Order: sequence, then structure tokens, then C-alpha cells
Amino acid sequence: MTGHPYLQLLIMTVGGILFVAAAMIVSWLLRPNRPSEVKASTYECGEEPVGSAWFQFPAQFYLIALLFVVFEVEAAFLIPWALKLGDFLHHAAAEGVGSPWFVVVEMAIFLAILILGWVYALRKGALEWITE
Amino acid sequence: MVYLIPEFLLVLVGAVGLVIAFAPSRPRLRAYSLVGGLTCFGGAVVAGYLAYLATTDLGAELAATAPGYLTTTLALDPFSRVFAVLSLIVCGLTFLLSKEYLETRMQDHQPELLAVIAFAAAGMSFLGSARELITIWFSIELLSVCGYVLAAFTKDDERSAEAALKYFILGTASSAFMLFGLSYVYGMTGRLDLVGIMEATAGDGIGVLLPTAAVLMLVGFGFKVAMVPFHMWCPDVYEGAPTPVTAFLSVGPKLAALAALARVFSTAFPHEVARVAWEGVLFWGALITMTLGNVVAIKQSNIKRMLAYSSIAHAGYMLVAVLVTLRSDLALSALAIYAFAYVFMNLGAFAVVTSFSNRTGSDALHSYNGLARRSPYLAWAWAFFALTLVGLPPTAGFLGKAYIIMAAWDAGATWNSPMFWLLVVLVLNSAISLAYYMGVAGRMFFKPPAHDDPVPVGGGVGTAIGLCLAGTLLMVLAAGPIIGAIQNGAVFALH
Amino acid sequence: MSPLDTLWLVLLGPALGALINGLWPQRLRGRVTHGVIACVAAGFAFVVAILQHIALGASGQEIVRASYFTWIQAGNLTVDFALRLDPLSSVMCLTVTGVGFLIHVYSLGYMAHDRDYVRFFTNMNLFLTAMLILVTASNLPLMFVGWEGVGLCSYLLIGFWHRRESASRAGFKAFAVNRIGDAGFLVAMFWCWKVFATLEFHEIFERLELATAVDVRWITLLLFVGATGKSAQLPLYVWLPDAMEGPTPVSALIHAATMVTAGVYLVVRMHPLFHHPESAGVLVAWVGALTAIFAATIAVGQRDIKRVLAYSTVSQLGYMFLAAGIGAYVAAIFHLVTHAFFKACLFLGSGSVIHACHEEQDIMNMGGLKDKMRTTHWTFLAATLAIAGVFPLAGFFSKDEILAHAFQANRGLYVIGIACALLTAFYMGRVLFLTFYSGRRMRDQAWEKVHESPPSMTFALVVLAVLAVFGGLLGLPAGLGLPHFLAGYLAPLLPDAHGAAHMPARLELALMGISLALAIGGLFAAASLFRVRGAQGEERLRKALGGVHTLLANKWYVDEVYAAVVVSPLSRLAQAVSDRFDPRVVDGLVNGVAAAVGWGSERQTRTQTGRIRDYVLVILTGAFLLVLGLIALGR
Repeated sequence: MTGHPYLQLLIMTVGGILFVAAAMIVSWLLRPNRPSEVKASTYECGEEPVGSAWFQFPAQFYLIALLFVVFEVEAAFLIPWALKLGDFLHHAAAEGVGSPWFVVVEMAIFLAILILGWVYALRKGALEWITE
Repeated sequence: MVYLIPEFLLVLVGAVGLVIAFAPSRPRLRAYSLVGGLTCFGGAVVAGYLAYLATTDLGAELAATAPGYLTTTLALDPFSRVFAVLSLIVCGLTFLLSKEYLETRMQDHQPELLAVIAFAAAGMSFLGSARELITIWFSIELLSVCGYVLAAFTKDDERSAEAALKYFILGTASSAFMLFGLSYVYGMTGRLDLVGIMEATAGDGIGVLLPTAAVLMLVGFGFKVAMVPFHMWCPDVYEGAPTPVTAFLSVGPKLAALAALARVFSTAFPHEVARVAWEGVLFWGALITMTLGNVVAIKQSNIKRMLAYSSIAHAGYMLVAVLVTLRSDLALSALAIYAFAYVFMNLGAFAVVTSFSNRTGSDALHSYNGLARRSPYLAWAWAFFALTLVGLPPTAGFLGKAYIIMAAWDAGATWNSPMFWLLVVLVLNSAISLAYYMGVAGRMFFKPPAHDDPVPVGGGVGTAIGLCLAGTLLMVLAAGPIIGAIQNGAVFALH
Repeated sequence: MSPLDTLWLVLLGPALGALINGLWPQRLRGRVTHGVIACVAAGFAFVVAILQHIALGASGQEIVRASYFTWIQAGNLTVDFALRLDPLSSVMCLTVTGVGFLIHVYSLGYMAHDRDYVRFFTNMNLFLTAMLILVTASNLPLMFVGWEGVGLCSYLLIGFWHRRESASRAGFKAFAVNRIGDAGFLVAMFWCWKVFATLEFHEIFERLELATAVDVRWITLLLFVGATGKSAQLPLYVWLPDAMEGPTPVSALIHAATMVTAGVYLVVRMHPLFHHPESAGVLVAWVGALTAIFAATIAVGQRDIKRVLAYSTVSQLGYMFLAAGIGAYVAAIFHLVTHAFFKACLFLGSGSVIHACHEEQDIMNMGGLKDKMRTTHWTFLAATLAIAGVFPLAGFFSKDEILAHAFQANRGLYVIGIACALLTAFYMGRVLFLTFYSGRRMRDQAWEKVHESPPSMTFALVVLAVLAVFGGLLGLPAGLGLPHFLAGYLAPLLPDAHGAAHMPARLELALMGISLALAIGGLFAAASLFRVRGAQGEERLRKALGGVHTLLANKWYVDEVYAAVVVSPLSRLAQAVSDRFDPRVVDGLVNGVAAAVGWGSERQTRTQTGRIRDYVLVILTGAFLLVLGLIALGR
């Protein structure tokens, strides 16, 4: 497989397109064509859609979801940090590089910023559910 | 840790802004914008000292004792600190030029706007020093998300909302490309740090995918830089966003992305196959970007759209410096000098626009007719910034262009080489840009105004204009130290 | 600290003076303060020049050179901001600052009522600065800075009364004509760089053997072209008479004593080149001689007192070039110095007269001022005798030295020289007698108001008159065994210092006798015509000369010829270009490009639809094209 370095990529791309096209053409050639009203509907099974999808619904859903993200990020950072904390403290004590408290303070800063954002959201009333 | 003072300061300023937003009041807002702006300028001085420190033995010692996980994620070299200076200056100037806008055009959420700008500036500063893929990604997203929020800030204004939505959707689309590229790189090399990627791709075994990944990453960076063809969002967002935000967006994300682009591509992809790919793309990207930006700017009737296209053109100029990072020692200095000049002249121009629209509510070019009679300060300031943006000597813009041309020349632009013609196009483009910058100046000085009402200049934005004027003039003095710091420091090296 | 360690100090005074007066034109208390500042600045420079002169003599060094910073660095071309003090520049400094100081003091009175008093003194100080840079520069580019600087100040001061159209036209003319000469200077400089690879004087002189005969011929010729512009020699002299539109102190300082001698200084400064047998020296001498006689004839026919003096200046400068061209550099500098004394005195005297007669400049309308203006009269008389070359005044010795050299070098030059001396005596006598003697021709009302000038003006007159009388002592004829101080002083620098010493004493005396006889003859002729009869004498002169007089009065129609041959074809060409070539070709090209750019701009703007899906499509297409491009690009 020497030759042009992109040859593989090209073969893959062309092959992919050909495969899809061939499958569609073959099915188009082979299938019988008997349209009916049921077949033309959006879903052949399940609920018929009622009304348009373009309608307003309360933005509070988004706010709640966003506030969830705050805690998710918190968890995503806290878990690896907690797992590695012991190693780090040991390492700092053994080699005298950096202060052992440093890494704790750092996480405290991170949490402080995060909590600040959360408190901000609370103060702005993001969690108060307004009905009409 | 000392090295991170600029970023800490920016985050602190942002956090204080949120606290103030708990119970906003006019005096508090004033105090915040003043103290915040001053903190930024003070921080810029500190960052400048850090940039100098990074070139000394003491600096090397400090870097050596920094925790390992810090130095593997952030490069604390002079280049990164120079961009920290830039981030702080951008933040400080934006604080100043927003003051009147916040007081006259916005009803609520004023402290938040400033706070988000500070966070974005922190992202900018991080992006300038990130040396590892995850950090790069986080920095870019910090900057981008702040940008989306900023564009939406006057949310009752339809155009602002539209701009924000466009920015968001297109931004995430381009981010997806970039993430795609990043994942390829990680998949191929198993490394996240740029130097590691470089080492892993040194051999012959790297084939097709690395250049492809590099180019996909380029899509993401290109979007932030507003490189053609990833520039389409730029005029619409600039027009719709609140003017101080436009001012910030026109410099912040662009410059940080350019700095990151230079660092990532020259550190991670210096080897033949990938290098040919990204240099080729950047060559044509720079050429088309600067030409399209300038040509289209001519026909605009809205000054913010005009400046949007002009900022696209400037990105094209700076891409030339990025293009030659591997071939010329001068390239990074040229990029930094142009970036500084660009901050002052572009923020200056936007400050004039902000000040004008604060009073008149109009961004249409024809409303600038006869401004020289209505506000000589604004008109003369614009004339000066226009000359600088065109790049006439002895202004900062000239200095920036001169260094970029010198760097490209240094990189081997012999007669009739492609690089030579790129430089020819660059110079021709400067001539084209004369048409629209000076066209506005011509309106101000030679066309009769619709009416003679004076346009008063607010204290904050007036100060910002003055600082930008001083900055563009003093660049001549600052160029030496900037080059010194960047040339002398071990740029992009491992600690 | 020796004054030699601080060569820049001589520039400091005038530079500061110009700066202060230029930046705070209205801030200081009373307008006289500004004038006093300017005078103190000039005086300071004079004192420094004296100290440097003494120190140079005491140190025994020939050349002191000080480099302050690298001014231009391009490739292997390095030009320093370097000053140089040697006997030649020291003599020039003394003359420039000394005469300059006196004229500054004089201006205190002369300009007292002018509305632009401060601007005047600013420009005068600026001029002194530039002139001092010119004479102390250590390399050609820096000298060119001074050269252009004095040109600029000359332009500013000729057009000082810029509300008068003739003044601003005269300034423009001076500038334009000077540019022709400057082009010669510049090309000479480039040529020097090509041949010698340096622009420093001392390095050029060390590397003379690098130059071929052709090089020397062209460099000296081009330098001389520069000199003819600045020093008003044929064919570029036409600007100087018009330059009299400026205030009289300006005429005295710039257009008589200092700036116009810069060309002579240039030739003497570059004398190692001009000394080369292949140099254009002979041409210099002949152009000088012809200019001298040509201008002298014109002076006979002029009625404006300042114009007579202006043509006289052109003529005397011709003498200096004559001397420099035949290698009598010391004689050239000697005449330069004495000329500065008596011509400055004459101009200031004429200024005093004009001032007293309320801006009357026509000598036919003066007359009989002798008793009204005693000091002015006596000083003017002394200076007239000096310029005519009457023993033992300054002009006698310096002119005689030139003529003695000319006699040895070329008899043709000598004959022109003595003819010119005769004419000089005659036209200067004419001015003197028509102005101060020959009964009054003024109306009573004006006559009543005539008064002697204030002491600040007469002070300068007296000092300059004394110098005009005794200045000759600087250079007594060496041929008679008398000491020639100037030659001794310049000896280390200028090789021919004792050239005239080889002449037998008897011949020397004979030549002196001839000159003196001609000078006195000329003066007597003028006296017999004008002393008593005044205007009738002028009438007789006109009749005697017939058609020639018309020619002289109209300056040989040179200005008209220039207008017809040079100016009018050029302006017609310019008109044609601006009427046809510019709108069609140049504008067409520019507008065409602009239209093309505009069209492209318009097209692209249409793709900016504002719809997000289009934008996403562009991003996608872009990314796709990039990857496709990579594949096409291959390795």
C-alpha cells in the first residue's frame, strides 16, 4: 500500500459514498411502488403530532437545567481531584516541592467561584418558579 | 504561581462584578468600572514585569519550582505574559469605553456585562499560554461562552439576540470541527501536550490523518480569528452586539486565537507533512482574508459592519506572521507588536463609534457627516486611528506592518517567491484600506452635517480614546522591549 | 573641561532660542523679551565660538571631531551626527555668530513695530542653528541638513511678509531655484558614496586615490552646481535680487554675509577634490569671474538701493569663486570674511535709510540724507570705501589678494577682475552720492519725518563699520613681507596658504597701485556725476550709455529669457499633462481599479445573506474544501 498518502482516505470516501448510493439505487430498482395515505404520514407508528412544534414554553426549564450543569462540573472536577489528593500531598511532603496546602486552596478557589455563580443565580431568582 | 497573577486578577475582577450584581446601584457600578479598569491597568504593569522576569535567570528559577501540573498545562514564557499584558489592557480599555454605554443605553445587568468581559479576558490570557489540548479547549470555550453571552446582553434588542444566536450556533459548529481535529490528534499520538505531540509525530509513520486533524483544528481557530471562509458571522454579530461588546469581540478572541494558533501549530506540527498542510492553508487563508476584508469593507454603509470587515482584513495581516513562525525568529515579535498596535487602534476606533452612538443612537456612515464641526475630538481621533489602521508611518500600525513584512522577508521572501507576492498583496491591501478609513474621515471633515448639535464625549470613553491615542503613539517606544522579551526568552521551550 | 569637548555647545543657544520663541510665541512678558532671548542666544553662540577658537589654537590640534550618535544606519552606510572643528569651520563660526549677533541686535530696533516680531526672531535663530550645522558638519549628509535648513529659513524669511504677493513669490522663486542646485549637491553626495564608500570629510580626503579623473571631474562639477544655487552664481543667480523682498536684516544676514557664502565654503571645504588637476576648478573660476562682471554691470542700472546691493553681493561672490577656482582658498575665505563685514554694514545702513524714509527704496527719491543721519552716513561711507577697495580698508586687501592670484593664474581672469573692481567702485559711489549727497529730492512732509535710527541699530552699524575699516589687518599682503594672520591660521588645512608670497614685491606693489587707481577712479567718476547733480547725473549716465542702459536696467532680460525658455514650456507641459494625461490615463487607471474593487465588494456583500444555514454551509464547504485541497496537494 504505497503510493499517494491520501489514497486510503480517498478510497474510503469514494467507497462510502458508493455504498450508500448503491444501496439506495438497488432498493429503488427492486421495491414495488404503492403509495397510500398511511405510508405518507410522519410516523407509521406511534402518536400523530398535534399542532405545530413552534410554540412557547417557560424558560425556567432551561434555567434549572443550567444550574444542574454547575453541580455537574463541580463533580467532574472534584472526583479526580479527591482521588489524586493523597498522592499529591505525599509527593509534596517527600520532595519539598510546593506547599501541601496549595492544592487544597486551589480547589477552594474553584469552589468559591462556582458557588458565587450559584448564589448569583439564586439572588436573581432563577429558582423561583413563576406561573403566568 | 507568581506568573498567574494576571489571570487571578481578571477572575477576581469578574467575581467582584458578580457580587456587585447582587445589589446593583449607580455609584457601585461607577466605582466598579473605575476600580476594575485601574486594577486591569495595574495588572498590565505587573504582567509586563512578569514578561521581563521570564527572560531572566530569576524567572527561570521561579518557573522551575512551579508545580509540575501547572507547567505542563500553561507555558509561562515571555510570549504568554506579553499576551497577558494585552488581555489586561483590552479588559481595562473595554471597562472604560463601556462606562457611558452602560449608564445611558442599558437598564439593568450592567455589572454583569463588565464581569463577563473580565472572565472573557481571563480566557484570552489562558488561551495565550495554553500548551496542552484540554487547556486550549477550555480556554477557547471560556472565551467563546463569554462571547455568546456578551453578544446577547441587550436581550430586548432583536438584533442583539439574533447576533448572539448566530454567534452561538456557528461558534459551536466550528468548535465541533476543532474538537474533531483534537480527538484525531489524541487518537494518533496518545498525547495531549503540544511538545509530546511533536515528539510523537517526529517519525515517518504518521500519514494521512495528522494534516487532516491539523486542518480541522484550523477551522475552529479560523472561526475565532475570522479567517475566510469562516468569517461569515463576523459582520452580523459585530453589527448586532452592543458596541462596547463589539469592540471587545473585535480584539479579544481574535488575538488570543492568533496567539494560540502560532503556539499550537509551530510547537505541535513542525514536521514536514503536517507543516506543509497548515502553512499552505494559512498562506491562502491570509491572502484571501486580507483581500476580501478590505474589498468588502468599501461598500458598507454601517460603520460597525465596515469595522467588522476591516478587522477581518487585519486578521489576514496577522496570519502572515503566524504563517512564518517556524521560518523566522522575528515572527512572534511581529505578531505581538501588531497585536498591541491593533488593540490600541481598533479599540480606539470603536471607542469613537461607541461615543458617537451613545449620543446619536446611529451607526450609519452618513450620520458621521460633518462630525469635525460637531465634535472635533472624535473627528481628529478617528482621523488618527484611521491613519494608524491604514499603517502610515510613523504610527503603531505602520510599525506592526513593518515588522510583519520584515519577518516574512526574513523567512525567505525572495523576488518572485510566493511569499513575495503575499507581501505585495499585503501592501496593496493597505492602499485599498485607505479608501474606506479615510472615506469616513472625509465625511467627518468635508461633508456638511445634517445639523450642528455638538456631540459631547463622555469621560470614560474620552479617556479610553486618549489612552488609545497615547498607546498608538508610544508603541514606537514599546516595540524594543517587546521584541527584547520575546527574542531573549526561551520561547515555547520546556521548563 | 575644554570647549573642544563640547562642540555642540555652539548650536545650543540658537536652537534653544528658536525653540523657546517658537513654542511660546505669546506667553512671555512683553514682545521685547522674545527679541532679547534671540539676541542672547546668538550672543551665547558667539561667545562659544570665540572660546572654541581660542581652545583650538591653544590645543595645537588641527581637527577636532566629535560624533554624538549614529544618525543613519543602512546596510554598510553609517552616517553619524558628527561635528568637526578645524580652523576653517572656526573662522566660519566666528563670522556667522559675530555678524549674526550684531544683526540680531540691529533687528531689535528695525523690527520693533512688526506684527510678527516673534516669528521673525524664531526664524532668525533657526537660521543660525542651521548655518552652524552647515559649517561644523563633519560629513556631507549632515552638511546637507544645514544646507537645506538655511534654504528653508531663507524661504521663510524672504516670504516673511507673506501678505505681500511679491514677497511670497520671491520666496518661492528662491526655493525653486535652490532646488536645482540641491539636486547637484545630492548627486555629488551619491557619487562620493559610490567612489569612496564614505561620506565623512576626513575619510574622503584620505581615500582620494580611489577616484578616477572622471569621478573627480563630475563630483566637483556637481558640487559646484550645488554651490551656484546657494551662492547665486550664473546661471542660478536670479533668485537673490528678488530675495530683497525680505526684511533688510534678513538681506544682511542671509543674503549677504552668511548663507550665500555657503557655496564658497563648500568648495573650500572640499578643496582636496577641487585641487585635483582634473577637477572643475577652472570652470569655477571662470563662472565666478563672469558672474562678477555680469552682476556688476546690472548693478549700475538699478535704482532700488537693496537691489544694487544684491547684485553687488552676487558680484562679490563671483570674486570668491574666482579665487576658490584657481586654488586661492585662503584669499576666498579672506574675502568672504571681509565681505561679511562691509556688506552687512551696507545692508544695515540701507535698512536704516529705508527705515528713516518710511519704506522708500528708490535712491532717486532720496538724496541729502548726510546731515539728517550722521552715524548711518559715516558707517555707509566707510563700508563703501571698503567694498570699493580703497587703501587701507578691508576690501582693499582681500580683493587685492584675489587679483594678485588671478594675475598669476590667468591674465584673462585678472582683466575681468579689475574691470569689475572699477565698476564696483562706480556703482557703490553712485548709491552713496545719490543717497546721502546731491541735495534732497524728497517731499517736505516726508523730509521732516526723517530721523536717525535708534541706538540698537546704530550700534551694529558702528561695530561693522569698524570691522570693515580694520578687517584687512587679518590678511596683510605676504608678498611685502607683512604678516598674513588668516593664512597662518588656516595653513594646516589649506595647502596654498602662501601662494601669493612667491610674487616679487615690486609686482605686488604695482598690482596694488592699479587696483587702488581703479577704485579711486570709479569713485571719482561717480562723484563727478552724482555728488552735486543727483538726478541730472543719472540722466547723463543714461544718455551716455544709450540702449545699453535699458539693457542694464532690465537686468539683461535674463528673467524674461528664463521665463520664455524654461518656465513657460515647463508650465505648458504641466498643463498638458494635467489636462490630458492625468484625467484619461492616470485617473482612468485609478478609477478603473476602484470600480473593479467596488464591483467585487458589491458581489461579495450579496453572499452575506444573514441566514445562519447559509453561513453553516459556508463553514462546512470551507472545511470540506480544505481537506480536499490537502488531498490534492499530496505530500
